[in-house]
Amino acid sequence: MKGIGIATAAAGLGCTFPILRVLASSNVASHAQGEASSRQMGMVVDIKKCFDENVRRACARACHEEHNVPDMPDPAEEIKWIWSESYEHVFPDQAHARTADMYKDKPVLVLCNQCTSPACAKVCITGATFKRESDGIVMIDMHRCVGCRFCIAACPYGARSFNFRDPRPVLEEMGTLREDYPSRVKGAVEKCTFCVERLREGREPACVEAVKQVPGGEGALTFGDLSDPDSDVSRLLREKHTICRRISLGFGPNVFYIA
Amino acid sequence: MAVQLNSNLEFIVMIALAVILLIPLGYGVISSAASNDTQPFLEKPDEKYDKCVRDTEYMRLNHMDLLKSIRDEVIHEGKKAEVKLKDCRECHMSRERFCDKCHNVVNLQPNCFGCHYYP
Ligand code: SF4
Ligand code: SF4
Repeated sequence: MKGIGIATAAAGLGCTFPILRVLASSNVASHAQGEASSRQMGMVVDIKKCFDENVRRACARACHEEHNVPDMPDPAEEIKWIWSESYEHVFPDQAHARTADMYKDKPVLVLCNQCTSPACAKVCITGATFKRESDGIVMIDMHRCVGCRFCIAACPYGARSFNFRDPRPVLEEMGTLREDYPSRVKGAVEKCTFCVERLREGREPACVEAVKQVPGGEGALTFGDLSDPDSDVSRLLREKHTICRRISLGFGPNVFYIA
Repeated sequence: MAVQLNSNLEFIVMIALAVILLIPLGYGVISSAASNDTQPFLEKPDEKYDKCVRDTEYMRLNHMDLLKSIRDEVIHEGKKAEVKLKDCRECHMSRERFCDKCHNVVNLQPNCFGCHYYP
């Protein structure tokens, strides 16, 4: 009887704190296991080219307008798919006391890493967040999201946002509501999707397309299939020295940075 | 004798329960037969397309399953959508005059339109 009690308590603990399960399993082995997606899309960000504010702003604007991401009046309710953070925040394991001036406190473009072994998907209690087999994109099935926010707590990159209120009135007020892309409802979690709706039509992600229009933005973002050795991203990764965000956690980010 | 009384009582209670449970159903049948108000009038689709993605009978009963299976193919399997909710809008232009007509009769408030724009 006592044994059963302990077992139930342990199972209960696992349910209440799914993060514990993630931490327990976030080792190199599970990273390799996540590699199972037959294809994996990925992105290479050129940090220096993205120091230019116009480049970063163009990405965010293109993405947020395309995907009905509202500009929430209250910063505590901010919703973002692609944004900037300081070098020290983005690469806490790279920054040190003598970080070069050119990187110190500089803004770095960040977005969801479409991790190989995503923490967010592991903690999702309904299976709403999952890693897709066909292209390795970490998707949210909005019809299944119940808004528990475990994924927000689990994602070590802060890539997810929560809808504290119905975003549509804000979009309508901003005048940016797009009728051909769904908005979200109160209680849903959202993040970058690598523009699946565009990839389906053979187009590039909105942010990648947008930077090309900005002077000096050419090559700031490169997108492609990591599983194809001849793709632009694979070539860049072979030729340049790149870094990733917090690889020691073992989630296997698929957004790479040319320092 | 006591046993006999008990089972009689049980029988009466069961009949009474059955009648109470059937009242709403009967009421619905009688009232809908009595008036035509509850019969949804659906707007005629646009001339642009000569037919729907499935036949009318199928759509009437199963459009939600079709939409859900398309959702699974698109979101989970990464396939192209056979039809999108925004394509439905091409013919059935008004939610109020199309979707809501039946949903109101059966007292359903599907939450599609919280995200999908359908004026
Ligand atoms: S960056 Fe965060 S939200 Fe994106 S896949 Fe990884 S864990 Fe999930
Ligand atoms: S890939 Fe698409 S969804 Fe992701 S940040 Fe870029 S534009 Fe936004």
